Amino acid sequence: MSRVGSPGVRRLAVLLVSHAASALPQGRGEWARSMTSEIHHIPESAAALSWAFGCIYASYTERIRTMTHTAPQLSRWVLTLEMLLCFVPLTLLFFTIAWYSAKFRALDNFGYLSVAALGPVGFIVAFRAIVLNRPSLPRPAIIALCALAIWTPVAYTLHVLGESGSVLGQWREVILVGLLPALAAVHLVFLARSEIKPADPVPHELRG
Amino acid sequence: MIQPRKLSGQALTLLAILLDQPKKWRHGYDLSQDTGLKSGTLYPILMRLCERGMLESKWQESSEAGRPPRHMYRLTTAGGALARQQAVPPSRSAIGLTARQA
Repeated sequence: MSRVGSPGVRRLAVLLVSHAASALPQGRGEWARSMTSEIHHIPESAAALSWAFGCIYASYTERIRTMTHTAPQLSRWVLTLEMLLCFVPLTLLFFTIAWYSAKFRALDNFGYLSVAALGPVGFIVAFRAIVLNRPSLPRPAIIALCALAIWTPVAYTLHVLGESGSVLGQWREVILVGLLPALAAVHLVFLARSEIKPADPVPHELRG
Repeated sequence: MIQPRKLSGQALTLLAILLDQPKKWRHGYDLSQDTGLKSGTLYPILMRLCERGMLESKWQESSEAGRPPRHMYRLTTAGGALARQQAVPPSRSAIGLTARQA
């Protein structure tokens, strides 16, 4: 069988098929070999190029299919860092308000406490998920967490708007106190609902 | 009862082509030309059918010097039974008609 067409096009086709073979997920080694060998048996360069593009499409499709069928796992350390970053400021705010209320008997601070309650509540849920490895939550806890995740940013933003008329001047506080804890709470709800446990930083098979 | 997954029109076309000569080993490019399926469609179907035990594959040394061995495919007994059960005449499958439409 003689080859027809431009050698440059054929080289490009071979390169593309090599890429397609390397893009295939693990466990598809035989199919990668099948693609790379078949291209050498196609007589026309243009047909080989078309074949190569098809192989890339097939490889990417397989890759994506494998990705979506794999449970995404988060590193325990990344999750810990995320939760600390998101909940520490609000928790400090909560305890500051609580301390102030107790010392000066300012019982009218309940509204402020409710806004900051997401901090310690989120901390407890995160502790459960990360340290006790129990990300699942009962339905009432999920509803409460969702309610707080909505209430905190809305109430804090309204508070800022009421005081200064614009959030632009205090956008850092709005993000730190309102937005980040809400996003972390949503993440905890996602983990609870999907039952994804945080991955150990060291794989089991590598442990002594 | 769990229903087996329905095969796509392209998979049925491929099965019909393979059923024409069930004992013959066919390579990917050959199947692509006979079915009219591009490699991007053909390979995922071949993978799926091999996984389900409908196809068997082997490597065959090339008759031409300097060419790598080729991956060959043919129907297994189960694949043959499935192909006969969901048979699409090749002449009709070639114009895109599936068993359900036929």
